[in-house]
Formats: sequence, C-alpha cells, structure tokens
Amino acid sequence: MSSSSVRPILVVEDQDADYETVMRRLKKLSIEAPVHRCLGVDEVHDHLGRWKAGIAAMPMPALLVLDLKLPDGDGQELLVRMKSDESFKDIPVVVWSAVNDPAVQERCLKVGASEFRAKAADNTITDAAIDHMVHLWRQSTVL
Amino acid sequence: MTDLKTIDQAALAICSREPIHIPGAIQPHGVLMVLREPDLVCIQASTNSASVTGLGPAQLLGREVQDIFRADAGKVAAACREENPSQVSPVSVTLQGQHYHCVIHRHDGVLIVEVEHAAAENPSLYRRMQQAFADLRHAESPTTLHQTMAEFIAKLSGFERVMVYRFDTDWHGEVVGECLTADVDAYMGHHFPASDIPEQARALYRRNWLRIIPDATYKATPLEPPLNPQTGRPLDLSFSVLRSVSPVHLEYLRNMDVAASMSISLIVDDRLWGLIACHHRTPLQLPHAIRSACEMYGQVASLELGAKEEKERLTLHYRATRIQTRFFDIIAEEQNFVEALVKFSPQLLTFMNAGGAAIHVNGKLTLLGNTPNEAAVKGLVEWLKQQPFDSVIATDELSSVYPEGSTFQDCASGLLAVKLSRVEPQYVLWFRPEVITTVTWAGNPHKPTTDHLALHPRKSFATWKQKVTGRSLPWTSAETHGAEELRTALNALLLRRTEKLSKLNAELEKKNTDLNSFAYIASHDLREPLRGMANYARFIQEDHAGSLQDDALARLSKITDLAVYCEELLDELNHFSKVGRMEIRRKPTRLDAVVSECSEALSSLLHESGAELKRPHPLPEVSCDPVLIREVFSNLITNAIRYNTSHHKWVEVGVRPPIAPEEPLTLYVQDNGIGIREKHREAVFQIFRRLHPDNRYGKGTGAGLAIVRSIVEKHGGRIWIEAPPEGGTTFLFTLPTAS
Repeated sequence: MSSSSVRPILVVEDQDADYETVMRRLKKLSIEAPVHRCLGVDEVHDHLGRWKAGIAAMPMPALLVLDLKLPDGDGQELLVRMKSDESFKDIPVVVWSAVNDPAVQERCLKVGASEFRAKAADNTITDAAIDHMVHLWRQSTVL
Repeated sequence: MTDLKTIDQAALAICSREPIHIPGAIQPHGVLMVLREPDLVCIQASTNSASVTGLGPAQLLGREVQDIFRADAGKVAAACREENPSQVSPVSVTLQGQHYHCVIHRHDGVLIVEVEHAAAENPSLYRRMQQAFADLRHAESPTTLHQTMAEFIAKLSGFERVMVYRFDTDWHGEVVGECLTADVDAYMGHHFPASDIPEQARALYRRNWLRIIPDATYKATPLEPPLNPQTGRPLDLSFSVLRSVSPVHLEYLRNMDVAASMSISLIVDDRLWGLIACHHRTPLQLPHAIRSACEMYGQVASLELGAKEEKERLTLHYRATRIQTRFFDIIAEEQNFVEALVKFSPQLLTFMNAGGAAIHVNGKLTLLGNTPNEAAVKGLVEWLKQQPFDSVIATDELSSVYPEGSTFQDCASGLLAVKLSRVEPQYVLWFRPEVITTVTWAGNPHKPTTDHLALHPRKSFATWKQKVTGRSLPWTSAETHGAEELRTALNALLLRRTEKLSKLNAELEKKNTDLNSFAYIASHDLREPLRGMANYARFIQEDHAGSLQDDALARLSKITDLAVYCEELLDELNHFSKVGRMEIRRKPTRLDAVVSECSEALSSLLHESGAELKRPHPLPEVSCDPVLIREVFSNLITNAIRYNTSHHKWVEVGVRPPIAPEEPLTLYVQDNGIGIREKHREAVFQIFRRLHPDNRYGKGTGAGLAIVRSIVEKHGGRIWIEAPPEGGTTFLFTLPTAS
C-alpha cells in the first residue's frame, strides 16, 4: 500500500499543542496514516476546490478532524458546506473542540458530523478521542 | 371638614325655599315708589305713601314725577335718567316741609325710588373713615383685625352689640370679633349652625353689602298693586333698602331680644367670608350717610381681610419654599429617599405645625414625632388607599370619618395626608393632637328647629355647651396648599430618582451582559493555552522520563493536574454565567420525579459512599424549571454526601410544613455531614468560595452553591442554611407558590 494511494487524515487545527498531541498518539499506536494539517477554514476550501476540479495532488481524506474555533472562521460552516456537497458528504468528520455547549454539539451532529469529542486538559479524555478517530479512519479506508 | 352634619337639613331646606327677595312688602320706616320709564309715572307704591308724600297709593299711581316731588322733581328726574341712578343717590328732597333722602335704583325693568327721613350731615365722617381704614391696614393679626372692625362699627353706628361673624367651609358661623356698648349678652366665640342663615339669604348678602332692620317689631307695609303692572310679577326687591324681611328672621331677632339689626357683608375672593352683624335692643334708625359709610367700610374691610389672608398664605408659602429648597439640598446628598425625609423630620413637622408625621414609601413605614403606633398607622394607610382623593386629604376630626381613629385621637385627631404617587400607595402623613375645646353653641345645633315641618326659630338662646373631643386645630388652606406643593416637589424628585434608577438599571444590565460574555469568552479562550501547558508537560514527562529525576517528574504531573483542575473551574464559571443569562422555563413539575432523577444520576456516588437518600414524605407539584431545579437538588445532595465524614452517611430531602398560609413552599436538604460554621453560611454561596483545602473532600470547584443560589433566586425564591442541633447542615430554599 503506497502512501500516495492511502487516503489521509485531514486535521483542521490551529493549535500546535493539539496537533502535536494527535501526532504523538498516532505514532504511539504505530498508525502509518498520512496526516495532513490545515491551519484554518480557507485552506480547507482551497483543497475542496482542487478536489472538485480534479487537480489535487493529495487524495481526498478518509477522515476530517475539525476544530470549531479557527482563526479565519467557524468550523461549523465548513462542516455544513461539506455535508451539503455530494462530493464530500461521505467523508466522516470528527468535531474536536473545546466548546462544550450541548447545543453546539447537537447542531454539529445534526448537520452530519460523525462524532463530537471535547478537547480536555485531561490526557485520558484526549487519548480516547484520538483513538476513536483512528477507529473511524480505519473503517473509512477499508470501505 | 365634616363637622356637625347632624344640623337639621329639614330646617335648611324649608328656609331655603322662602322667596325672600320678593316679599311684596317693605319696612314701614320709608316709602317705596316704582316709576315707569321713560315717562316716570308711578305704577306701584307702598301703602304708607301718604305719610311722606301726602298722597295715598290711589292718588299716587298714574302720577308723573313732577306731580309727586314738585319743587325737587327736576333733581329726581335727572337722577332717574342716569344710567346708574344709585350712583347719584341719595337725592335730597323736601316733601310737606320735611327733608328726605331718595335712594333710586333701576332693577327688574323699573325704577325703584325709596324715600327715607334725612338726618343732619356729619362733617367729621370723612376723617373718621380715613382713620378707620388706616386702622384696618395696620391690624397685625387676623384677631386684631376682627376686633378693630367690631369696635369701629359699634362706634360709628351706635349699635349695642357688633359681632364679626365668620363662615366656615360648611357655612357654620363663629363670632370672631365683638364689641359691646351696653349690658347685653356676649356672643364672642359662639358658633351658629348653618341653618341660621339659609342659602338664599347668603345669596342676597353676596349681592347686597348692607341690610338693615330699624325695628324688628315693624308691621310690613304692602305694595299697591301687589303685582308690578309692568311685569305682571311681584317686584324684585333684591337691591331695595326698605325690603321687608322674612317673618322667620324677625322672630329670630325677637327671640334674641333684638329690636334693630344691621348686617354688613364681608366678601373675600367672591365668597361670602362673613358678616359684621349689629344688634340693638330698641329700634334704631341709621341716617343714610352712616349706612353708606358702613357699607364702604364693609368693602374696604373685605379687601383687608383678603389681603391679610393672602399675606398669611404667602408667608406660609415662602416658608414652604424655603423648606423645599433645604429639602432638595438634603436629598441631593442622600441615597435613600426615606432617610432623607427622616433627616428632614424637624422641618417636616414644623412646616405643618404637626405633632407627628409618618412616611409610607415602598411598603416601608417610618414614624416621626408623636404618632399612633405602627400597626395603627398601617391600618390608617390601608384606609387611605380606599379613599378617593387625588393628592391631599385633610381633616381636623379624623374619628368622624375613620371611627378606628378614636383609639389614638389624643395624638392624631387631625390628619393631613399627601399621596406622593398615584400609582403606588406612597404617603406622607401629618398628625395633629387633640385639642379639647369648649365650643359654645348659640343653641343646640343637634336639636331640630322644625316642628311638624312648620318652621320655628330657636326658642331659647340659652348657651348650650358642647365639649368637643376628637378634634384638632383645623388645617388652614395655606397648610393644605403647602402640602400640595411639597407633594409636587417630592413627586418631581421621585420621578428624577426613578429616571436615574432606570438608567442605572440599564447600565447594570449592560454590564451584566458584558460580564457574562466575558466569562463565556474567557472560559473558552483560556482553555487552549491551558491544554497546551498540560500537553507539553506531558510530552516532557513521556519523552524525557529517563533523564529526569523523580521530583521533576512529579512536578510535571502536578502541572497537568493543576491544568485539569483549572479547566474544571473554567467549565463551572462558564456554566454559572450561563445560568445567569438563562431564562427560566416554568412548567408544572412533580418534585418527587425530579429527586428520583437526581438519585438515579447520582447512583454511583450514593453507592460508593454508602450514603442513604431519605425521602420521608412526598413532595408537591410546583411550577418551576425542572432542569434547573434538578441541578439544585443534584448539587445539594452531592455536597451533602461529599462533605460528610459520618460512618453512616445520610441525606434527607423534604418539604417544611408552612407556618403561615401565605408562606411560599420551603424545601430542605438535610445531612449528617461536617456542618458549616455560622460565619461561613453566607460565604459558601459566593462563586469559587471554598472552605476546605484542595481535594480534602474530593474535587470541588466552589461554583455549585453559587449556581444553586442563582437558580433559586431566578425562581423568585431564597436559600439559606440552618444548623440542626444534632449536627450536620440543612439547606432550605423557597419556591414561590404563585408563578
């Protein structure tokens, strides 16, 4: 399985510490998933445009890990856009956010997020969240 | 105000029906002729005309003025042709060798000529009047003024008894000044019931400045013909000086042993203020000049009375204004309106010459000086609320309108109340003590003067004394007016206060919103760096475990723990701010179900701690927000178990039986835990206020009780702590039964 053919995990995350936490956990689990990071909403839009036009170098991701509070916008809008687009609606999205408002959580799940995981300073919570992401990625790549 | 309503209304009604302005007769001391215009032919005359003119009515009627007055006819005719003949009266005429005065006035469509004997000129009269007017001006007090008036008229007219008689608002009269020049009964200080001077008599007094009866034993002289041929009606004698008076009035005078009487009207501000009433035991005929002087004196005295009353009113007004200014100074410094009034109390009392005052604002009652007790004043305020009045109510006999007032009439026989607001029942009340006075009634006013509806004047003027209780000094119009102004000023002030308050409220609301959004944003934005710290500490722990000493590793793990705890605090802060912003959604809620849900959610805690949740009796259904109230129970039950070191832990949830029927529902959560010392019982409700060292009783952020209080208060209830004697803690909170 060449790395270029394996569909990557796209992590939309502006915080280095959180991104590093994901990377460390993947490494620890020996997951050789290609991970691509976007720092904000605009960057993801660029990718979406390229995939649609068929000019992207990177294959479409098997999983999107989405932070909500991003420097250039709200992750929720991105979620809505992807889930309302035939081309992308099947990509599973895990919302990974510090926002722990049940209303926001409910809204995200309603528009199509596969999971809503709260970011926490507590490692066990973080690890469980990342483990679950891996689980979803595996299911997605197998299918 | 409401004195002596028992005065017989029947007597008043009967008297007021007598048409005293058209008696069809005159008093016999003069002769009355009616002349037709423009030919000045006599068409009606009194039957005694022969005594003066030498012509009986039969001869007089149809004659022209020339044939009646002969040599003086020119003067009379000239006066008759004046636009206002009374202004050129009297006209001196000589008839049958005697000197007469003709007083002529035009009324009822005809000229009325009244002929009376002329007396010698009084050359000093002008100077005497000048002096009299000066004396009026210089009178220092109303009392002196009244006395001055009585003395001058007595001297000028020769009447034996001259009284200054003042009407009160209900037309009862009181003698306020008197001068006696003979051994006659004194009436100073006597009161006369309103029925003594009936309404239509008062109306005539208003139109006519002077009435005189030279001989009360006179036999009325009728007019011939009885009806005025010009009008076909009885002649209107409203302005006649000879007009025959009511037989009732004559009988009244005779009962008082009065043969001659005169009354001069005192009219202030277009209202009959009173009379200068003059009595003489024998007939007394006054020359025209003296009568005119009396009349003029009455007019000038009226002006002086008006001026003196106005001056008194103004003095009080200025005093009120000064007090108001001072009041504004004080209130500007005070935060609290009632406190300012209390600070102001000496002025508040002197301002109204009151013995005590009460301020009832925002349901709070403050008493100043000598007042009825608090419960009594509260009762009075309740009564006031029922009274239909706009701004000011005043009575000098409170118990007559408020019978309960008789229990405290010693300090509050007089009440002056000002309604500060038309919307809310806010009042300032002034009290005046009882003044036990002996009011001397000229005749018992409670004794009817009618007998089988036939009118009889009082048969006896034996002094009837009535000890009046339950009365205070009356409130003057200046005082009620001052109270009204104070009310206006206070109202303006309250309005400004309210405006300021609503502005402050708006600002506060804005600040609250800002604070809440600050808490929300802070709790979110702080999380990220916090998580970063925790993560990096963990990276070091993991990556460099081998090269780090144990204490360094332990400290790194401490950093992580602290970060985790800090995150919890942020969560609670966020939650607390959310509860603050939240609208409560009430619905009928079975509290038993709510507690059951809590018990289920806390099952692991209950299980682990081995605590027993006691529910000794069913809880009622109330209107509340079930989600929030569940949080209240959940927090309280959790605390009860957490702060508990007993071997057998228990927590009891119940409802406290109400003591009073109006009492709101009181719920309790009691435990056998560690208890809360009295000095901490308020502090525990403050956000992030923790009484125990970290983790001593498990993890707790200190926000729980702040949230609980916020929820209870949002429901309109309150929460407090009691310590049962057997130890532990009881949290009690109310939920208002009315939603």
